Amino acid sequence: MADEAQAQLSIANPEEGFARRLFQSYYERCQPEQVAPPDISQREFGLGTWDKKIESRHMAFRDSQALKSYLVRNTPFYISYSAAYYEFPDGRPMPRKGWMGADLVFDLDADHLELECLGKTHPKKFPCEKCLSAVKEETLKLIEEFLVPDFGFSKDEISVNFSGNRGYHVHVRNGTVRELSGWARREIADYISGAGLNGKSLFYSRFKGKLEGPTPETPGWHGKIAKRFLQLLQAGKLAEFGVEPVIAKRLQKSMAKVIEGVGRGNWDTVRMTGPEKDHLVEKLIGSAAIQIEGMGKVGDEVDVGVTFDVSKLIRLPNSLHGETGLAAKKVASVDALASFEPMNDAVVFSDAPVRVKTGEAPVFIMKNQTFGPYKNQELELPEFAAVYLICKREANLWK
Amino acid sequence: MDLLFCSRYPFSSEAKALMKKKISVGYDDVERAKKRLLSALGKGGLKPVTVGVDAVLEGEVSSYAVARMMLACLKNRYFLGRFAVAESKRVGRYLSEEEDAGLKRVAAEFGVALFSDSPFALPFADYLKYAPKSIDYKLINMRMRDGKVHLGRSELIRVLEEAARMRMEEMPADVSGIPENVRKAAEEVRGKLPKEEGFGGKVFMDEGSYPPCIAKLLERMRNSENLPHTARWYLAAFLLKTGMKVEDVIAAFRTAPDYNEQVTRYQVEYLAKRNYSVPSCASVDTYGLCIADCGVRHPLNYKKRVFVEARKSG
Repeated sequence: MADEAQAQLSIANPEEGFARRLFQSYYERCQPEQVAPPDISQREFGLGTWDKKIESRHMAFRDSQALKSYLVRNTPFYISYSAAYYEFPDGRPMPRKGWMGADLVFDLDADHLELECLGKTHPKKFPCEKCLSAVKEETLKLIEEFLVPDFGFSKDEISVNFSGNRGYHVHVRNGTVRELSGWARREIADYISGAGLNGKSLFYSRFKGKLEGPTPETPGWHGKIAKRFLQLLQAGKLAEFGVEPVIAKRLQKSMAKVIEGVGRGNWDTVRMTGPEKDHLVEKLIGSAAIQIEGMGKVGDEVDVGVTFDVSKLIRLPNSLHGETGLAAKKVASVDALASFEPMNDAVVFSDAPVRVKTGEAPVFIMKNQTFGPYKNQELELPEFAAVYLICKREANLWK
Repeated sequence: MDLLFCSRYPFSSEAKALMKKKISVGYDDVERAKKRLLSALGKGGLKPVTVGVDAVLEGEVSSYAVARMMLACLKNRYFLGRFAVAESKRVGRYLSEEEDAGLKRVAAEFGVALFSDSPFALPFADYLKYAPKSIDYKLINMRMRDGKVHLGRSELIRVLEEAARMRMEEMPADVSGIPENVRKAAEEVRGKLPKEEGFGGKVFMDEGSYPPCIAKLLERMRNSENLPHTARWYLAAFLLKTGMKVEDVIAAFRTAPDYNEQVTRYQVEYLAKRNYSVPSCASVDTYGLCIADCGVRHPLNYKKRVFVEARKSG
């Protein structure tokens, strides 16, 4: 009860109170299993408030009912849980928890993709349809081109959820990944983001200067390079991906010969100098790799810690995101991802009218309705759109 | 029981079972173990045994077991690490003489199921457990499909060699049952073993300005502890970011029992090239490396704080 009193006291403004009541009504409607992660009693939880995304961690719940009751009673604006399993999830400091393994988690955010629009034609906090579909494509690519064919995971070991804002989280759960060390996780992150590929090992001269290299059938990254090269060549997109126009043109001209040659691993037909080929390979890596949270391009300032941090906390699937009022909606299956529309499927509030005064917001689409752009306007919005703007701190309640 | 197998791979469960039957450790066993330890830590390393006589093979198994007991008594990570490196190198030479079946048998010893396609394949998680930490063996440079990493024969041997090294590097836990004559021999041999390399570089120029967690890692490094990967990564990232030169950072790792200049160089240069930032205190805590409440939220701020406080009090 002390928690409840504290929660009441911390309500500083009407917007926060409004959002909290709606969040609470959502959690009341939820089935306990809907918000509970597998093996809930072995997970650590972290919470965030209206003003602070991560306020506290080291919490534990014994079962899904306890978690649901907490969410209804205390209604945090953010809730995350550990990818790790612990003997004592609420133990402190970390070594006392007794780490027993962890799921393999990938965090993809539109922010990490080099998009032309995000933060340029519209502010970062309002992802547009293009941003959302690009990050969905990237998530599909991670699954279809890496996790399934290379790592051999089956689709039922993979679960995907919307992050609640502008990305997706991919969780892989099985006995093998559970025991992976921090080092192993970093190797996996490097593999997926194309970091550390030794371009020089791709090609070798065997007989009198004849240059051999990978075919599209070669397993692993070597094959990806060959495949990507032929894809871009056939689509006439080599230049678009940074290959020098002169070279792209020359390759396009002798396309049939090149395709036939590379298909057999004969890269002599590509006819390039060493540096030209290094450059090509670099571009191909860039276009075949996945941008995941915590990894950056060579030379970027990144905190790589998150990728091999075996104690990382990640948003609880089906919980609400305090910055959007959207659910971190679990996608029914990997195959359902292609048709998942976050600004429709992750909306959980009603269309009851709410009067607000807006701040600034670009055009956005929710539930197939177009809103905005707004600039200091008084108007009536459906509840879901009002919450969205209020959570983004771009609207106040208005009488 | 396969005596030849046991003599070549004395860390195997089969060899251990053989040793269990042995009742006491005799004079010959101790002398052979001393010799083994001294050659393993010496410059020349260990030569493969080519004699196939039973007595010699048995001696190989027991000298290994006794040498391990002596290492347990010596309680020195550096000696243990050097021993594991020399032993595993010889294991590599034995492995290269094995038929495919022999390689599979050794792999099974490490719980690795080997598939015989093109020419060998193993589950990626097993591969990552034992892969050498160098660019040539990075997962991204391997041929992987359907969860299996495909290896050539020599690559597989290198991976198994690494697995053997890791197994032999584990400090024997129980020293209570070690006979008196072995304990005495360990003390005799202590003075004859090579001293560890000096702790290098310019690391200690202003030690006081390092945050407690970094100071602790440096101390552990100096004591030749085998630090986990995250700890090494954090230490190297910190030292690089505070302006230390790559050469000096490499030197700081020289006392690691598994120190290999080439590997260390690759790792440190990779870090420097990718310009990794130093993790925040919150991350450091999650790695289990935070040891004190030193009052900063980012390790790089520690020096600043110490500076400011020194000026206040000065």
